[in-house]
Amino acid sequence: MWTTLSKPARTAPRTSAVIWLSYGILAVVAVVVVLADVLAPHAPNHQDLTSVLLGPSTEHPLGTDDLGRDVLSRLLHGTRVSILAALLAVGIALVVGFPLGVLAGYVGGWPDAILMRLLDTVMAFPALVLAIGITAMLGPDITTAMVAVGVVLTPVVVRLTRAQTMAVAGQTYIEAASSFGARGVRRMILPHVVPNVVQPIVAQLAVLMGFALIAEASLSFLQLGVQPPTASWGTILARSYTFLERAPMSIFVPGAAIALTVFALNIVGEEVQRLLDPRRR
Amino acid sequence: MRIASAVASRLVWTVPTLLLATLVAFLLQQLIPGDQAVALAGEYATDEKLAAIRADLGLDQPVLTRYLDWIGGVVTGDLGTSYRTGQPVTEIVLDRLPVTLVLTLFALLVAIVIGIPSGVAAAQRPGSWVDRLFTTAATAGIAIPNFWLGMMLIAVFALQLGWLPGPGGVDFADDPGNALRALVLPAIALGMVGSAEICRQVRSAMIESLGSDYVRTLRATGLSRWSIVWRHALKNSSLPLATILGIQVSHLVGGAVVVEAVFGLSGIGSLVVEATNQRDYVVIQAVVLLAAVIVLVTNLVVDISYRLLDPRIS
Repeated sequence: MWTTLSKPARTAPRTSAVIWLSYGILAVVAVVVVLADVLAPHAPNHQDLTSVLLGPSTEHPLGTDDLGRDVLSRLLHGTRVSILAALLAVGIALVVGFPLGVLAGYVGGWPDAILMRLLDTVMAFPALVLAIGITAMLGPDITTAMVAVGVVLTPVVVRLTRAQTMAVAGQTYIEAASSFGARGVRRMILPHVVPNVVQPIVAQLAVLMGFALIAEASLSFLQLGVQPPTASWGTILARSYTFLERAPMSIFVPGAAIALTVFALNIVGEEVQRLLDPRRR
Repeated sequence: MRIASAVASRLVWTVPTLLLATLVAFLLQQLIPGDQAVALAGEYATDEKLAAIRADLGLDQPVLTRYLDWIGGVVTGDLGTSYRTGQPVTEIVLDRLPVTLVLTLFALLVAIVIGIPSGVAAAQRPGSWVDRLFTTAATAGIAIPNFWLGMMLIAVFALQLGWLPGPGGVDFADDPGNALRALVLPAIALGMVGSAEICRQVRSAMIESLGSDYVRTLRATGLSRWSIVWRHALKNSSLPLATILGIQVSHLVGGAVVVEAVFGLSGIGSLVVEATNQRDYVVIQAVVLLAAVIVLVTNLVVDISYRLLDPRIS
């Protein structure tokens, strides 16, 4: 049994069932995001005070909340809100972080040193605390909250991109391109550097997305993100937590939705990383 | 001598970062849209009142002057005065800090006690069902939001079984025993994600250690497996472990904000949420800075300790 120890095992081994399950979960989430209006049996904010805190029934498959709103419909619409919010945060981190990372990695020298120093400082703040600080100053709502999450994710993207760019910049093909006179953004960075940097970042996107989803849920739970009555995973959890004693299981489904989605994103992220790894072959 | 030079070399790095961190925390205020005096006093405040607030907060001064003023105070332990309660911010923050620190330490303990043994177990036979079980559980653990786990723990252990107190913290001064009992569920909720991350790091570090030449030599000398794994290989995995513990403190302080809200604990996490609702910007600024200071000091301690532990790092 000791002989197995010398085998390289960088990433966790996965059974294909878990991987396929993860693809399945993400497919379901994607369908819900696109078709939330069609799939939801009721309007997400429609209150019916004659039927509050009902258990599951054919009319309300997941029951109703304390204002008589259909939990399933709120969950479906909330999925769309949460996913789009997380996409916004990751998008901001990418748009700001990727070019900075490529420049820092390619140019090097003092611009790189200054930028990294600044990013080290930003990373010294616990991500959620800094996000709360930024949101608090800008005024709490979902856009500012996701801008804040995008800001705290940016250093992660810059570091990844920078490391990858530095590895690429030392390659022979870059030297070759440079000896043919390739220079500047249009002739060197865009055609030669960027395509070779993109792949590992793509694999990380899934993980960043998972972080952004949890951050959205946390901030909305604290009422610093999505504002009621709009449904999101965080606001649904916050609401159901207030009537926990009367309906303890109402917290289960929205939390499980977050956990399953983030789990699937992490598994798929690892899988993509494995598939893109040239050493695999 | 080695201690002194290790401390000095890290301080050279930490102090400028700390200064930059104060700048970031200060500049947060510049994000407040519109006039800060109006934001504080409300739209219908009189001009005299607005002018008074501006003079009071130094808003009529240039940004640099205000920063130097503020940093001068911070260095001497004066974080300003809460605009809502009139109390010194330092007093408010120090009042709330112990709960957060104890909660973070408890959570770190939970993370270590669960994370290290499971990482070591998973590393014994990479690819085996034990390994798959632990790594999949760790990935699931990372995906579970800590505040949701907290709610579930409350639903099961406080409401259904009644074993442990639910939300609503107990003051340490009143009843230390029950105050600690009230921290058990929040510490588990907060520490679980950390244990999953530690498990993954320990696993990969241990796989590397166990596959190295010196372990083969140790096995050849007939040393027991237990002693090789726990005394030799784990010790050699302690560098990545120290790094991950430093990162964990940052995650835990961030996570504490939400977990405190779930459990109704009055730490700096719930303080920053209250301050946000009351637009008490000075308090928000102070908590954000304090969180960074906690992280930077932890990293400093971690760095210095492994310079001392590992003679290979100079």
